[in-house]
Amino acid sequence: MSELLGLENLRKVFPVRAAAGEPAGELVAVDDVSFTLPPGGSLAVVGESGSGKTTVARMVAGLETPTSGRITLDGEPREAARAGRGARKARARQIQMVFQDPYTSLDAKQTIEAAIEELLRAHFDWDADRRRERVAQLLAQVGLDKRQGGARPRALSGGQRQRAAIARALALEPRLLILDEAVAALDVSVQAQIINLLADLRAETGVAYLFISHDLGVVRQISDDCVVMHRGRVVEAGRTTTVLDDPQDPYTRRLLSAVPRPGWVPRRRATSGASA
Amino acid sequence: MNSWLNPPGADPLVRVSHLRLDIPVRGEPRRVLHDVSFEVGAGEALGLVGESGSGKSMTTRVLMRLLPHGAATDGDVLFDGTSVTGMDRRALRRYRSSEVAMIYQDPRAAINPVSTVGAFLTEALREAKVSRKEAEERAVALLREVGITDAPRRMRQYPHQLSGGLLQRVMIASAMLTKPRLLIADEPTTALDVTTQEEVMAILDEQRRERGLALVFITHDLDLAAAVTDRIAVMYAGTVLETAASANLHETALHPYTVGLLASRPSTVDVKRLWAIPGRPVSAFEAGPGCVFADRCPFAQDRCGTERPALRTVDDHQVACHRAEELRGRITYETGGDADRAHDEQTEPV
Ligand SMILES: Nc1ncnc2c1ncn2[C@@H]1O[C@H](COP(=O)(O)OP(=O)(O)OP(=O)(O)O)[C@@H](O)[C@H]1O
Ligand SMILES: Nc1ncnc2c1ncn2[C@@H]1O[C@H](COP(=O)(O)OP(=O)(O)OP(=O)(O)O)[C@@H](O)[C@H]1O
Ligand code: SF4
Ligand SMILES: [Mg+2]
Ligand SMILES: [Mg+2]
Repeated sequence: MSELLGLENLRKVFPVRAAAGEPAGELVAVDDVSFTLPPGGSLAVVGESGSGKTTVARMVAGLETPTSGRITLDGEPREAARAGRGARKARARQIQMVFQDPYTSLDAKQTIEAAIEELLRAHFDWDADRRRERVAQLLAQVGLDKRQGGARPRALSGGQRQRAAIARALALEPRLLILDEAVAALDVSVQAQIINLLADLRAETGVAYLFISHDLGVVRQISDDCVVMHRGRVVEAGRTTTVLDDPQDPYTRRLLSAVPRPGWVPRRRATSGASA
Repeated sequence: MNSWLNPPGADPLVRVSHLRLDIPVRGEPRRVLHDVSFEVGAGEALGLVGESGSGKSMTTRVLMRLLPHGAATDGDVLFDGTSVTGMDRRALRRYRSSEVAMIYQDPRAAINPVSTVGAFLTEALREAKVSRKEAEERAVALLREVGITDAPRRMRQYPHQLSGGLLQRVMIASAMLTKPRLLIADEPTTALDVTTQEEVMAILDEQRRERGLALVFITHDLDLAAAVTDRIAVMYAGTVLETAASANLHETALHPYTVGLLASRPSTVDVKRLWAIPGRPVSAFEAGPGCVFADRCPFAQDRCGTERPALRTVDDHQVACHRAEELRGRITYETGGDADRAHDEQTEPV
């Protein structure tokens, strides 16, 4: 099977400074994580707060250096150190990231159109007409109209801003889009629109998703495969439907049983206040 | 008057009717709530559910009479038959210190970071002239009840040394100390992981039942609310659109917004394209003269844009929709194509 993204025994250790009563030490944020993602696939990384999801995403995006392990793109090491400037630029283009807070990737002073146009100018030798055409196409793809495209981020609603961030991320035709809690902050009704949009965009463009989320319902809608993380390690991995319908690991089971649904009753576990 | 607001027999513990609230924004009054009505019986749990900006927190602030300067209210807020808006200083003080207790989404904002858990818990009791020894014993006993086994050690710790889930349990214990009759919990688990949420909800539910406390539980998660409350009030744009029994809400929901909200939530058990309500939630001051949901409702007709539907009884629900009877069981949203995109284009950002 062909493979777009590959992670092999990825590990990330952060130094921890001494704090009140605690000596300095190390924090293993990601511990021996491996998985692969095929072209056009959608893989979700799920787990609770602090389990290491964002750290994995940041390493794949090149924003963080792994302590050890390997990340490959089309079977080649992600950091092709000897590659020329052009090749590096092309590689950077292949992976784009969308964050929970769209302001992270949008410039407050720029209109949405101008931001996308600038990105296109930096990467392609296109004339102004071609760029304008592409901007219009991208805006239409994510469901923003002309007026919204001409607006600054602050003048848009939360859902519209996230659409704009997605349009910008898609501008360079990446092969992999990393979405880190990209729908987590949205109102339920708007979140449903963006989930549907993401499904459509993958079908239309063939882009692959690395979808980071703590929300198992959202993960079920958006991913083909999933990886469950707990304390930096992968505790379970497989087809999303299989993992969610028939979880094998006790932690995955615990996670699933805690999701409110019709007929659900919250239960107190045997554990007490032992964990601070 | 609406008969459901005045059922024969016992008075409810809380009765909010036709509540309106204006808050000054840059010197101009802004409508934040415009027609909020609901009741909570003694020992009953009511879920207030809605998307952001729908007015859930503002409603609780009216209940506690903790309003920003210059706020103007209209309508009735009664606690055990007494008007909360009309209480004098002394009555209000007594009401806040012994009748109601509140738990917030962010416990760290509600607790003094430089005082210990023990000092925080015993403060109110000491003010009520309870001896130090007794106050501490009661605090430790309560911490144990909320599942904190090493209570004496926790009493000496500071808030930053406790996880969010543990701190929220301390808040529940604190709320129980004064033996209130009503507990208001404003998104107490939104910031927590699901497993911690389950834990905290189980404890909250257990405490409430054991003590026969009434609960107003605020959340944007309909499934969570349905699981831990007796009845649900769905809020939108500063108004209540539907109230109904929590059990079987998925089957019985009547209002197009409630149905849409239930269908928007991705399921953990099966994959299907989501029904998406077009557009985005609006605030009370943005709503037109008609139904507040009209600009997003696929079933809107001419009168929906001009005539505001009042909350009225249909089946055993209260619902604010002109077409509730005729739409019963027939509501579906667009799931394919560009319907949601097309609609979103028509809405104005805030
Ligand atoms: N730059 C850093 N320096 C030190 N520790 C870090 C750093 N970044 C992350 N960590 C720690 O690594 C662990 C994993 O963090 P990470 O952000 O990857 O978790 P997450 O699964 O994304 O959690 P969340 O759901 O809360 O976003 C946490 O304990 C975190 O505190
Ligand atoms: N101090 C304030 N001054 C003016 N308007 C306010 C103030 N606080 C809130 N609002 C407005 O009142 C409306 C209701 O806000 P409220 O906080 O009650 O919403 P909510 O339902 O609790 O939302 P959330 O789920 O985001 O907490 C919103 O439109 C909000 O912008
Ligand atoms: S009153 Fe009209 S617009 Fe409002 S919910 Fe009912 S059908 Fe829709
Ligand atoms: Mg994260
Ligand atoms: Mg609120």
